[in-house]
Amino acid sequence: MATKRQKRRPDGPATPPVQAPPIAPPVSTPEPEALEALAAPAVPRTKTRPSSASANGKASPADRVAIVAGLRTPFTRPGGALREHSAAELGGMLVAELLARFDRRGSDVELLAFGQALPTLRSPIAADVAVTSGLSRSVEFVDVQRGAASSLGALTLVATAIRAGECGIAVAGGAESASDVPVAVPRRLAAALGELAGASSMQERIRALRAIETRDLVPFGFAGRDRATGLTLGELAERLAKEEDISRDEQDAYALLSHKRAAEAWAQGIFKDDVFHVVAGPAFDRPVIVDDAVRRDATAAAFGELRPVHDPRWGTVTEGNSAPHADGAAALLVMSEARAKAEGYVPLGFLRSWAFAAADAQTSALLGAAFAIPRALDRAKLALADVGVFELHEEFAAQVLATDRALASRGSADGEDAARAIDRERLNAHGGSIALGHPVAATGARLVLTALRELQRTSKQFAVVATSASAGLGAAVVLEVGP
Amino acid sequence: MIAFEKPLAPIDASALSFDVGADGVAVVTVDDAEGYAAAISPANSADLGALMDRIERDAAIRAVVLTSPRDGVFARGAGLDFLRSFKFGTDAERVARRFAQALGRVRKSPKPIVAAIFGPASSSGFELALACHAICAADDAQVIVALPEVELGLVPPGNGILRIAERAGIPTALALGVGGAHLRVDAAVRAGVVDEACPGCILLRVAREKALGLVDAPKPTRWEKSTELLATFAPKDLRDYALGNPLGRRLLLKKARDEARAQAHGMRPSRERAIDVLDLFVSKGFAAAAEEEARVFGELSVSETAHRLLDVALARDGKEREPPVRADLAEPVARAVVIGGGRLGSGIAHATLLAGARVRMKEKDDLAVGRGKKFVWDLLDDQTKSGALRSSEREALLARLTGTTDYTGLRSADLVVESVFEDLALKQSILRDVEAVTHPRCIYASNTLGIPIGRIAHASRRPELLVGMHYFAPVHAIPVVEVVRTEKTEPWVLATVTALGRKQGKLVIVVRDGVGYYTSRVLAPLLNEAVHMVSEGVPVEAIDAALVDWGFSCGPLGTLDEIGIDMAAHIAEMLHATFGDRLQVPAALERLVKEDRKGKKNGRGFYKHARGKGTEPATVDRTVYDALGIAPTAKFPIEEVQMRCALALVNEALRCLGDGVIESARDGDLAAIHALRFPAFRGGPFRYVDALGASEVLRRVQSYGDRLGARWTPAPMLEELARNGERIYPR
Repeated sequence: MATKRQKRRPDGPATPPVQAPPIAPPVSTPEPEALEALAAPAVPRTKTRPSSASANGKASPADRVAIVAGLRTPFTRPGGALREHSAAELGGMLVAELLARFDRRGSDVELLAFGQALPTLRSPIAADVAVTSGLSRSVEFVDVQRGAASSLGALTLVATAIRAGECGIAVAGGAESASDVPVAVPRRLAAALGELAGASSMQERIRALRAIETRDLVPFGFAGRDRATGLTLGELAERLAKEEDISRDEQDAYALLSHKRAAEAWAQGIFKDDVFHVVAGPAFDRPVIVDDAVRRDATAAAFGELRPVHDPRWGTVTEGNSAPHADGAAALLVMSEARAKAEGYVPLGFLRSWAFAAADAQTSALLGAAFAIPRALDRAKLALADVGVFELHEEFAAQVLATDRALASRGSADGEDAARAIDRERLNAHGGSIALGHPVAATGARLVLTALRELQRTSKQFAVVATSASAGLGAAVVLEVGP
Repeated sequence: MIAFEKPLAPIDASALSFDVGADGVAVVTVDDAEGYAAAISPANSADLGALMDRIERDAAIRAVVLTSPRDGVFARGAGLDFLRSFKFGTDAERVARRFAQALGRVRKSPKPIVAAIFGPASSSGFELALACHAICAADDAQVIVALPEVELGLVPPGNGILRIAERAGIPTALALGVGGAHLRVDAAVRAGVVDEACPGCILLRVAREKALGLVDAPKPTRWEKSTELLATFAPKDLRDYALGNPLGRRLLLKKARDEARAQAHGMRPSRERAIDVLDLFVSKGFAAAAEEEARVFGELSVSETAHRLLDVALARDGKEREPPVRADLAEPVARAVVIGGGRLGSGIAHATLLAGARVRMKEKDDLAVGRGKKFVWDLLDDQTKSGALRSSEREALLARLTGTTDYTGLRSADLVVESVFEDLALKQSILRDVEAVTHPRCIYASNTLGIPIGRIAHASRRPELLVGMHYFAPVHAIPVVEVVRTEKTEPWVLATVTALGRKQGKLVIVVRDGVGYYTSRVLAPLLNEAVHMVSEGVPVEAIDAALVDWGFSCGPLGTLDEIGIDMAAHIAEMLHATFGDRLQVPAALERLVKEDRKGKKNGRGFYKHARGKGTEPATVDRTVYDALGIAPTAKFPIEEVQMRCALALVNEALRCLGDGVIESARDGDLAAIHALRFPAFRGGPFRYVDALGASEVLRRVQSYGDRLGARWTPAPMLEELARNGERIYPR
């Protein structure tokens, strides 16, 4: 974790490191907490980062927010290997494994922030995950619904609580089941059914049933239309591609790159430690271990053959250059820096700053990230050039390319190409949502995990993770590794 | 100890609180104290009468709610020692009759009496509730109703079975009174045994209203009563229809009788007697059946079977009370890791989940993890179907089980239980791997059949944290864990695993380390002897049938197939190496191993094992005789087969007690009965010696020794007992 960049957090006054817990067995019956502390391996405590942690392990203002560990399920297509499980079940399994693998007792997690973007009848999800992951029954939980930024929202929410000293250990994440999107019935039928259930006489029953007309019998699904524009995200992407003049070839080439990189990353085992093998009931005989949307054998020609979804005649946005919906979950174990240190964890990295931004969906739909990134960087007192790793959610290839251009036009371009703010080597180095799939509320946590791993692999110091969320919103977080 | 000479303890006034409300309902709360427990048991029926006198005399009382303190046992049954104390059947019969009369008074009380149950109600306590005019219960997991008397070789003496039959029909009476079923409150309501279930916080109010409702209800006329009785037989479905006529009921009872007989080989008469009582109820009515019930209770109370079963139950009770280890040193086990997800490993994981810990199961690959999880899931699912768990509890328990294929998540484990193949080198290498990642106070327990824990400990950096936890397959069905302590095992480690074992619902027997510990060591001579007899030409099925007839639930050769012939030979060789020629491995056993006959696991054993789940009666694989080069023509008297097997075990058990492997004869009896399925009604190997007489046992062992050689050398302790004319247990 050598630091290459010059920009560093200003160090506080030098104080002794956090006292390590005693390694000698205590004589009396230790509390679970004490045992937990004993469980910590003898990590060389050479880092002398000052800390003014209080005795209870809660953060003081000088403390950073540490992302200690992260995990995700494989992301699979709707109707694929994870179809039997609701988002809450996926989230529950994942959080249970996250805690078990990284040696937490469920009982010492104080806050669970969990997201789910697609509506289901089992919402809200956080309460469900708190129970099905075996967390303490008195854990505080909160739902975060911010579209594709849901798990980033969850992360910043727990970070706020940790910075405020409200909690020491938290879990942030999200889960989605695109296989489990409910189908609704029209309101009139629903009302009639309600009346029917309450009816006490045959007359009342007949009256309730009479109100139903044939067209009321047609069920409908979740449309996901943006309220301001009346368009779906795909239609907005189509509009964006046209307005920004992003060609079909450009989009397809980007999508192809995403697949190639993802396939390569899987082949090299880059995701090995991040992806939890789901072995789930009731049969328990089909371990789910890889993302199933990644195309190893993708070719430009194959992408070129796909028909545009929203505008058959002039359109450029296809299923190939959009992120496919997926089933999956991702979560992060977050602590105050002092707590992480006291328990012997070597954090994956720290959350340095974040920002959310809202853009006018009429004019800047899907470009929220381009507004959020500069803001987050400003707060971190960093420039685009300081950032070694970019993980940008790929809702659509057109949106990624347009976001890049928008950043460049704001004058923060680096490198030789003025039309590009971020060179491709730094951007989504191991593929993105187009190849890996997009379980909406889980994607943010995946991006954070991937970015932190990449920082460690490449010995860079700063990373930016960003996503646009629904039509006009955007979110960005700045991560750092090192002392 | 004789009940009748003991003055009946008066009801302890402090144990009874009588609270008559303005509405005229007396809430009689009876504390869970000894005084009350005795008050309603058959021992002290007179006091129940006194209670009824008071209820009847007090004009302010219009109705009664009979209850226990919140969360308490509704009413404890008669003490085991009281039941064990009868010397004459007539005494017991008289007690039963008086108890039934006292309950009859409750039933006939002109003021309605409603039982309000907050906790478990079993035996006499449940019978008391059944005698009340209505039963209300809290819809709480700890409310369980049961009539476990048949398990003790008795019948319930307070007409409980008959009252269930009246309320809920014959099938329910059979399930509870004969099958010994434990019903949770929802099941009891469905079955019609309990009238109302409601949240505990409003139970008293509900019971009160129920009681007042009964006051106001017009008294049923005789005619209505009889039609009501008939209505309990009114057909609801096909099965009910079949039960609606005498022929159908007869058939049902006959089927139950056949089952009871087949299960117990005529050794456990209590079930059949209970069915007799029900039979009389169906044909002649309540009074005749009640009469018979008292007679049967008297007869069974002094039977050898009941005495032995009560001794075992008493021993088990005592076992729970007496601390074999410093219980105060026990530490909580919040996170456990089970290495190996086979039948045993998964069973241990399941039991540990039920004990409240989080469990991480390590296996070699995802598929093996999946098989282990499936095993646990199926067990939890069965428990849910049987009503022992709610589906939400099942989900919550499964959520606490994670699987892994590497050593992640071990750092915070309080306990690691290794349950892998019986191989010293393998066990040692896993131990080293685990110790490298666990924290320095993580207990390491090896679930091993017979390898001394001390030998595994050679590989350990922290041998003081090593202990053996020997579970028996199937873990969920066999309620024993043999805890093996080495000389280095620290007391708090022993205390912690003992406490965990108890939380898992196991009887914990602490034994000293050594080859085969106690159970495997005493089982080996029995299995060896059976194999010797096969090579002497006795047919396989004849040997197994003889032992089943003696009371074992499975014959020794069938057992060999179950545990694996190779495994048994492996243990036998270790025992031979340690204890010398006395435990010589039968040549035939070695021969079978050479022939690659491993038993059930490779489908080649003494019996034919069909692949899949076929559970047809096992047939002997006759090629086993060819493999051994013998003809199964010898005809031994059945008693010789039984005695040679049983006494081989008994003789070795006496050595174990003499060597200090087990701490007491009681431990040895309990372990043999619960883990090796030694017939419970014989009381265990040590009780059996007392029953037969040490000198008689010695005479037989010596005569086998004369014929069969050194393996029948009598245990020194046996010789000593015989010489001094002593018993193992005091009389």
